[in-house]
Amino acid sequence: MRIPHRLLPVLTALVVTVTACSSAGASQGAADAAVLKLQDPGNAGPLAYAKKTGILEQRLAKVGAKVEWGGSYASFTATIDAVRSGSVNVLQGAISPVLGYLANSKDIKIFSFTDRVTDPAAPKTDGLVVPAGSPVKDIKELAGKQVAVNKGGRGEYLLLLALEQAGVPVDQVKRVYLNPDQAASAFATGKVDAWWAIVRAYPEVIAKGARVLVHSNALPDQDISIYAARNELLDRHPEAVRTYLDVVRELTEEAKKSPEKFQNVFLQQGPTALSGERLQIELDKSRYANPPRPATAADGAFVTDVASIFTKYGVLPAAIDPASVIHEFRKAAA
Amino acid sequence: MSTLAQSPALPAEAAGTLETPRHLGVRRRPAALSLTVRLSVPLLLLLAWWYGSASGALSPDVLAGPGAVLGALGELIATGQLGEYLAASAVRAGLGVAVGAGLGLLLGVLSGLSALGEELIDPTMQMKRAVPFLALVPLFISWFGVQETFKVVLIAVAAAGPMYAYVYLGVRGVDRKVVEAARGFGLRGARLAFGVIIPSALPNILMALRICLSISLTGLIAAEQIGATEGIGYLVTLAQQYYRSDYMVLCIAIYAVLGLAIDLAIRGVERLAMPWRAHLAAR
Repeated sequence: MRIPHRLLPVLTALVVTVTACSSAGASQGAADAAVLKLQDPGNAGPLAYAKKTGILEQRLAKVGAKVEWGGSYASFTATIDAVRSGSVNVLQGAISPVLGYLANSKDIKIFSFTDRVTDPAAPKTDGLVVPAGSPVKDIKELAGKQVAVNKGGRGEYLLLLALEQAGVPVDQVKRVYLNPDQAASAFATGKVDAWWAIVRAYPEVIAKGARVLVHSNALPDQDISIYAARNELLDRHPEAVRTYLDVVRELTEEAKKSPEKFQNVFLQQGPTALSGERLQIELDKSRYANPPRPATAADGAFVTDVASIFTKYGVLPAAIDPASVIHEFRKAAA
Repeated sequence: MSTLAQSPALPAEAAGTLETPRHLGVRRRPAALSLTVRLSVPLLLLLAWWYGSASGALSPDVLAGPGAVLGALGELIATGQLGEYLAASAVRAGLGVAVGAGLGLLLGVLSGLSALGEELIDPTMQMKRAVPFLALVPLFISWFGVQETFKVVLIAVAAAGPMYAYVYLGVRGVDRKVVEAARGFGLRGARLAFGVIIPSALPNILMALRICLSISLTGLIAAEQIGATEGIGYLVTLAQQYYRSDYMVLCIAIYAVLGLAIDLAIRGVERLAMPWRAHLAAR
């Protein structure tokens, strides 16, 4: 039994190493000196352009702030984990997915809303789709069918809203929770009867011949795009967040006039590069896009409306007080 | 079993004479034949894929054709991303496997060698092995952030389990007589472990390394979905997010080639480290 005595120091060393590693990891997130931690902006859009040209860095430097470009995230859930751990402190999204986060943790606030595009000439950005050969012609016929939606997100909100509008009891339609990329496969192979396709998935599925039952702009859709930031950043450095919003707004305005330079920003080739039809759709979207604007107390109505649909059908456990999740810049400055 | 049935041992023994057993010897298959047979199944699969796509039996929505996948490969090479992605993933996987498999090896040897070690380590490692490492992702993000540390730790944790299990098994299986003989010559502690026990457990350790490297590929997909801007796992995420079925198939092909490379590398190490196993006993 000599070996066990030799084991003890080794085991002690192991425990010490593991403890040291974890405490080093924990202290990483604590540093906070006006640093905007953003997700990777990808290959298109105002932020990708800002990253390439360094505009955001220049403007933030004037208010003594910096920007840290992070990586990309496969899903909103993964992004949320990063926000919770402080690895990302400014994020973009829609009201619906952020509500799920706000229901559990109150460490972020919405500081900007983007009004919905109302121009009928603007390209459609989402729709409840059925396969080309589907017998379903109307949303009322969806009773007893399976519809793919992203859980607690825009897809689920729009489906609930559409069913309510059409007078179809919500529990008669089976909601199948799938992320957009999974839903695309399930829909293409007929594993689900319908799908509320959003963002990039929508033009893809239309190009493959899917038929649209209803678009979000035919509904009283209140689930608009937002920007949110972690509370400590908004409380301590509102001017940095404000500058970020100003830059995004100006670049969105610029992209309306000359959308070409906001597409394929870093790469002309590869999985993120767009060409042909796909590129044209994105250029059209940019031409009609509304720039984000600072949040006001009146925007609480959007939050309340979306939350009420979610709480009514049990997606969210409790109603959310809009005043506790909206950050107003002017009020903060005064 | 057939050799047993055909064995003339029983009648020979009955006759009172002993028959000299047939020498097993070294039976090498001709290299060209072996290589052809080895390549035939993958080539057949490739051919079926190519024919299926060319004849229209496989729609591009179901499975992108070889032409589209080669095009995607060309794009990645042209932009220099392929090299960058492979290098980034290799660093993560290499560090993760080095740390995880190293730890698994250490714990496996400790647990296999001493009763106290086993009592202290084994229950925890068995519990750890039952926890799918993917379930730890949210926790690890809050502990280690989303940068490189998180990715390396995730792969390390994934790699530690199989290495521990195989090494523990290997060390327990070391021939007692060999250990006793080595002790008789005065070998103790580290010298006994490195001189006798680890070499005897080497087949298990190399098998574990094979599994660790394969698991690190799974770990890469999970780790690089989060906060990454390069890597082959990140490429999988991009392909899914941008609905590029050509890139999805390309990712599968890259993983397949990596699997082959890992297998070849470990075979090479086996030949170098265990020359006595050049002809397998059971054949």
